[in-house]
Amino acid sequence: MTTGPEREPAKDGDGESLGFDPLHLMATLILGWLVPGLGHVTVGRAAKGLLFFLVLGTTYAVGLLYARENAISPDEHPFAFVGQLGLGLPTVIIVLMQRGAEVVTPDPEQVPKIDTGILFTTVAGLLNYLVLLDAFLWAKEGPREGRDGEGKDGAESSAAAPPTEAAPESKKEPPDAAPAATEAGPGDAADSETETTEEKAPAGAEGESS
Amino acid sequence: MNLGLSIALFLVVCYVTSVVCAAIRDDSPRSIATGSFRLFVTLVIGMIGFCLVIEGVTWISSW
Repeated sequence: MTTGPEREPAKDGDGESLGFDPLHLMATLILGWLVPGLGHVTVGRAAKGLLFFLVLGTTYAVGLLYARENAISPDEHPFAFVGQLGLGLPTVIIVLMQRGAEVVTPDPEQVPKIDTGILFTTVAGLLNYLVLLDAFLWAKEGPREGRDGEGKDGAESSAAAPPTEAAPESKKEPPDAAPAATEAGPGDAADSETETTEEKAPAGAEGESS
Repeated sequence: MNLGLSIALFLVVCYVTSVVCAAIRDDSPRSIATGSFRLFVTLVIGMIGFCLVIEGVTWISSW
């Protein structure tokens, strides 16, 4: 979502780069708090953001439909309100709307519905805190680095994986090719297959010359 | 509110929770689907076990 010239990454007191943009981090946090999934959209994960928006938005909306505006009340349900505040925009709007309106005591028959509404809205808000944490980590570590097999970890795992994959292939090789494989050494296992084929040719050439 | 509706709402909340948690952990739609189902089953079994433990403690304390 970067438009225009790229900014330099933030630096700490020693002048070393932090590796992330604090403004982007703040934007991810604020947008993800206001609307569920929008934080993921800002870090380039639109599909996941859409999923979070649909799931959490539907849960929150069902809770509101069940209990109307009675579900959200910082005075009557302060602990639930902490969870509901996880979905910032709708909760803040409802609280602002309630300020001007007169307080109406709910019908006792409506109380079970209000409890259900509180449950749904609180669960949606609490889950959005988790989603926000995930978006925060993506914004901090970068969408291509260090997460879910992509980027840094992915490079490490791809560098670490080939030895296990290359091992059965080395077993398949004939016994006379084994010394060539051991000469290649344990490093650069990803290229072990190409190296063994490259080293096979000189060995064959030596055999022909001798 | 009847018992059936309460159980249905409980299952909905459990499934929403497991879908979000699986989507945070996994990336591909298939792994999200399988992961959320496994989380859902684990969550339901865990909640039933938790309720049984609470009921047992309440029952024992009433002796």
